[in-house]
Amino acid sequence: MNSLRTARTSRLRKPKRLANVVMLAITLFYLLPFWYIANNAIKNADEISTHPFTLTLKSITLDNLRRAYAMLHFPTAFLNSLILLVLSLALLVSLGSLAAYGIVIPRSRFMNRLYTLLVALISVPFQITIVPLVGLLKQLGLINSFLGVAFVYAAMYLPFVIFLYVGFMRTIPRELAESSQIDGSGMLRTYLLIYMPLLKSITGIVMIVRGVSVWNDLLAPLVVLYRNSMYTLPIQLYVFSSSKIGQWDLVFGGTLLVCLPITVFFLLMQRSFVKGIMAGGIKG
Amino acid sequence: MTRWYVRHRMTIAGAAFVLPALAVIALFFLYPAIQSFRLSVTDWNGISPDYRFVGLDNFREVIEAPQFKRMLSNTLFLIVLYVPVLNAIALLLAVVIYDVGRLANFYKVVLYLPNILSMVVVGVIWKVIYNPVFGPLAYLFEKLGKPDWVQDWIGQTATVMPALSLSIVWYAVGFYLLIYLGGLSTVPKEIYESAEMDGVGWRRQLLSLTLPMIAQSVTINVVLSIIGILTIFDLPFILTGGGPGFASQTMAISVYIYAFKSMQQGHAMALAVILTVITMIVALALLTALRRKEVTDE
Repeated sequence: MNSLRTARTSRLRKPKRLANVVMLAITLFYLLPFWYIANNAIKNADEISTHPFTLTLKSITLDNLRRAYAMLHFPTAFLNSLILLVLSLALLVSLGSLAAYGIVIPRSRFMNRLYTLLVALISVPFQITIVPLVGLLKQLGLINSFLGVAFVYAAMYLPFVIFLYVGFMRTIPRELAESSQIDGSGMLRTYLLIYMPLLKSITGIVMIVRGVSVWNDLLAPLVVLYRNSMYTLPIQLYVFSSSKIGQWDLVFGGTLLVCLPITVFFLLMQRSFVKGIMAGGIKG
Repeated sequence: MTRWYVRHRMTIAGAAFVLPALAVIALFFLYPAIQSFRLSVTDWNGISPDYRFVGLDNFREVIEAPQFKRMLSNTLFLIVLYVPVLNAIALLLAVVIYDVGRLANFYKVVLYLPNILSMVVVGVIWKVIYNPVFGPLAYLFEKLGKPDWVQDWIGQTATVMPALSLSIVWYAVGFYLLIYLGGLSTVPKEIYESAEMDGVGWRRQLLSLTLPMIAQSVTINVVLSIIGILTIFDLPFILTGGGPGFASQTMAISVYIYAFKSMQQGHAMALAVILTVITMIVALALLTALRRKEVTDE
């Protein structure tokens, strides 16, 4: 019996070592582009082509970063991205959780049908709206307005956000809502005082997952924001990288600057990211 | 009337909560989407209040345009090759990472890292990687003594689609990997132990144990990756811009170019309608097919 067990574990351990070797190779393939950008962003321009993968102390310079920082109008672009992010998330979380609550509590056939319809919208491509949407935003005075872009994101992502919230709200025992209603508190109070605190983790998932897509998106700001002073980080990098072809020291510097904030955020919050995406998949 | 009110009291109260979200979706998504369908058969230019009915002219012109055939074959390439390859890689990685031991979290974080970057960043990174003159890929191939491999991978008609797809896989695989891992975490471990006892090899374990058990994750991932790849804009727009010529043109990019570069709003809406119909038909067909599989396999 004992010998059988050792035979089995040794057979199991061998492929595990192999698996780790393979995975480390793949990890290297994943990290190499990052290293390539990062080390060249802080290197003298003339050394980038001669040894692109190695960095010596002598060749380190912050000049690329400094110049890219100025050309990207980094502080303004960062602030613009941040305003857009806050507006969009405020709309998504408040409207999304309210709607999910309104769908879950009545337990009626009408609400279930409405919910199915909303979920079906997830598969409709954004491109179908684009031409009339720009015309509509012009009519409403929402062109060149962060609120305009935030409404576009809200409309685009609300079906998915509602879908996530409904999935989790259905796991909360209804007795909780019912008993508090007998106490005389209305539906809105139940939502604010009982449901929202219980849904903290799903609100976190919504903010992380949709926050990243809002922060990174190019298309919606590109068609709604025309004023240079309103450009977000992705637009600035797009304009910058297409006008600085050949000046790779600057392109690397700019790319590193744009990556940095979100990468740091991700590394700090990695557990929530991983858990959030996995949970979203299971609930579906 | 009062009885009706009492019976539906909760639904009416619920409707008040749903209304704000519904209003935003209706105004900024449903209304423009319906307008696109309606206006795709007119000569509306996006601004003027006047337009007239032109029948299917827009559709005919879009379909007869020289790049349309290329767009169709690119769409087919992405559905038939990219989606299965992406899902196979994601699933294999998930199975390996699932019981790889201590480093599992490190692998997850690294593989998911590209996914949190802006596709603009990813596009710029891969543009540099593929650069045949001084890019790192060319540099590595030179060092390895394979100068034939130094090519303008995204500048040649024959290689642009695979090269573009590789960069999208690098960007996207982490997301699908995590969904597969989520699915794997719901599979009871004992199944594998007894399969191990019975001497079932890993390939058969994967195909006849794991795959049916995580059928739900497969369905989600296949449908999500179809929708994702057919509508992806930022990354291919930055990396190839649809070129060289029309070699990597997709409908998602073409809609943008029609609408905002060549100012042919009618063509943009007609193509958007075609894209929407294709996406929804493929997504729906796969959803039905895979859902059926889920039921019979359980």
